[in-house]
Amino acid sequence: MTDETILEILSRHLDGDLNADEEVALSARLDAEPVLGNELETMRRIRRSVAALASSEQLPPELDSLVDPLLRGKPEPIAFRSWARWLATAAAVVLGATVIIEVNRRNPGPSIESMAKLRKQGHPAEPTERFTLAPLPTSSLPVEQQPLGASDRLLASPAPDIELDDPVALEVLGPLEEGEVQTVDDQKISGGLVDEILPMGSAAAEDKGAKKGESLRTTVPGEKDDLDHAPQHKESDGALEGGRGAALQSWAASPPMGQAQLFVFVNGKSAWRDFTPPATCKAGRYSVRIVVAGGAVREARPVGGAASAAPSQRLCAAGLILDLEIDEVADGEYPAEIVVKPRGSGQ
Amino acid sequence: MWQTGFVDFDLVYERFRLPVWRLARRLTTSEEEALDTTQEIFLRVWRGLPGFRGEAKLSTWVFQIAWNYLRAHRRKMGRKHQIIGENINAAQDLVESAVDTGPDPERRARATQLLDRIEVALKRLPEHYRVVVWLRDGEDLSYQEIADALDVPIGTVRSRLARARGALKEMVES
Repeated sequence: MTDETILEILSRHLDGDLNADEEVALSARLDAEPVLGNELETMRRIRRSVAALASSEQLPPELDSLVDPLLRGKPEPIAFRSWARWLATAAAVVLGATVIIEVNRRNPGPSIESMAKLRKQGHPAEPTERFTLAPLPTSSLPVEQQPLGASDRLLASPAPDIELDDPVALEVLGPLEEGEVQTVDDQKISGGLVDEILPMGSAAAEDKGAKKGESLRTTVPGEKDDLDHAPQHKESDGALEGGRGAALQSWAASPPMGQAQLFVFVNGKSAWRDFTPPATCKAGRYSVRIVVAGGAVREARPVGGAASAAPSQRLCAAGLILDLEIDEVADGEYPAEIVVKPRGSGQ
Repeated sequence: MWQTGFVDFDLVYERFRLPVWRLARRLTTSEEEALDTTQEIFLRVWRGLPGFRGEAKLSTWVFQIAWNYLRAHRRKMGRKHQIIGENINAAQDLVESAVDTGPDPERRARATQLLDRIEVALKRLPEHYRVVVWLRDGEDLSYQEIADALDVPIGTVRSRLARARGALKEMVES
């Protein structure tokens, strides 16, 4: 029997782990070998000492305070719980997916049937992809002649230094509401001319001005002192007389018939011409100052106060008359007015 | 009283705080370290208690948690285990200075000294041996409970316990 074997038997004997046969065998050996008895006694003493050591151990008072949060059932910090982080992540993903699905369910795109129905009714089919950017519309005109481009140039240029004789009169020259603009046919039916599409010098315009108040002063053809928009330079009394063609007409010659008109005020006189707008602007009346050179409008700057249309629409209207021929007008800068009729009106 | 699973944490803590503390004290090098590890052990007990269904004995389950954490802690701290027989001369010096002769007061003094020596000798045991002898002699766990707590066969418990006791005897007697 090796030392290790007898050591284990002695150890098990101390713990009462030996069976009856092993106990008998050990007793016989202990009787025969007193040294084994001494070893057993030493082991027993050590065993008791270890137990005594355990009994003498005192619990540190700090331990209770350290474990106190657990005793009070306080949840541990979230950082401790990895499962909680995973749960929160999963919940966020599920919530996000639910919101997306719900939004799509409430706002479904056009069905194939509805699109086919619209197409049958003559409506253009909706684009299949929402929010798809379409290319900007292009113009057949050269870049330098495109009205929108001209407006951009005007915007980029320094602000015009215009000193008006009677700014109040300009404030009332804002664009008309669409409902106020009447067509030529309407005028004929009603048996009179409607001031909204008349040049400022017309009698009807005077009537409208009278309704709006004394500040509305319109020019009357032939009244030199009544010009609201005096040209700043290069203007002469003979500006209209020296015309080189028949593009501009006097008011008395014929009433305006076209989709749009340009009224030019030259030294107390007004003249106008029909023209077809190269682009679409909101219907209304727009006050501008124009620069005439070589028998055509080379520059147009919108003027007007708060009552006028939105700046974008004023620029749009100003762009309509660029390079419009007005042969009768001498080179110079003049106040003018653009009248844009609603679509479908005029000729 | 706050309950978790089938067992109240309060009761578990009340029952096992001292045994766990003692085991931590045996397997760490300082009281502060023992305090920290005891707290961590009970944190793990608190976490695991809702899942405890009583398949194992509660003491076995708690000591298993304690042992696993302390072993991992020791590994993490990078401390090298001491081998049986190492520094045996220092242990012999301790034993030689404690001769069991004289009147009773002296014997009591020697007994107290013996406890100190036993504690020193225990610290020199490798922890696999130390934990077995401590759970058996210090906490009075059965072989089977020790085997379950340490997740080793019961034969291993027997052999480790015998070797540990032999090493302690050698250190104390020599």
